[in-house]
Amino acid sequence: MKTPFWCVGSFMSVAAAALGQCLDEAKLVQLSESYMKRSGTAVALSGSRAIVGSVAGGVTVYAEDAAGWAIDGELPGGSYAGYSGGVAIDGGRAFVGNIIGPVREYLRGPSGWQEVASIPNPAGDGAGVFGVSMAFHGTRLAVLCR
Amino acid sequence: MLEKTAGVWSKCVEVGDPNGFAIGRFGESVDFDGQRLIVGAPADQHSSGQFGVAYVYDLSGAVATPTALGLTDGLGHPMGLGKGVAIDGDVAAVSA
Repeated sequence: MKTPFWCVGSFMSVAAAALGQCLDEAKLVQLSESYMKRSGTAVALSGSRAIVGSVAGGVTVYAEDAAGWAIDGELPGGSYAGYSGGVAIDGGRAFVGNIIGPVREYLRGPSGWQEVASIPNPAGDGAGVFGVSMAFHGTRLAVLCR
Repeated sequence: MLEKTAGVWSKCVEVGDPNGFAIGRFGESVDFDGQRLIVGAPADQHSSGQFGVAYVYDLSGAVATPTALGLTDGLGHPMGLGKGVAIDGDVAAVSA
């Protein structure tokens, strides 16, 4: 199995690096579904998990196993007024922003993804942009706040 | 940058547009590999005069206000560099 390293191509594919080439390895979201939900407005990848935001369909986590990529969970929220918030993932921990409200933290447990924390918008809900872009590694979350 | 300690999220590092350029769209994209933070500012102006900058910060130390290293492509695009960023170790990818 190649090592997936980035999401490219209308934000619906996982590409793989092999000998310096970038290969389209798997389609995570079918084109028709992606068009309806406007999927791929935010994406992040961690190991064998990818998280994909959308404007109209929430946030979806995909996981890869020996059989290929499949939906691992649906995380609510992630958009506001026709715009998508940011997403971030590292291992079994994921974050979903909705632009004006809190950033929600999810943990992958034995029974699926569960919300474990809500990080408030420092400016107050609706008062400032928060969580439109994010990145997470270890215990640190980089998040846009303005 | 927020950090979770003993189950509580709190701010550990804060970075802003080094130029203080209010419309530079600083933070439109971010990535963090555990040590380095990269921040895209696709409408910001680099010291070379070009528009579109990606800033890299080394957060390996306990520095509250880390120094930014500004990256631009040297190709003279009107703006746009930094719309998407990614970093992993010594390699950064920046889209325009």
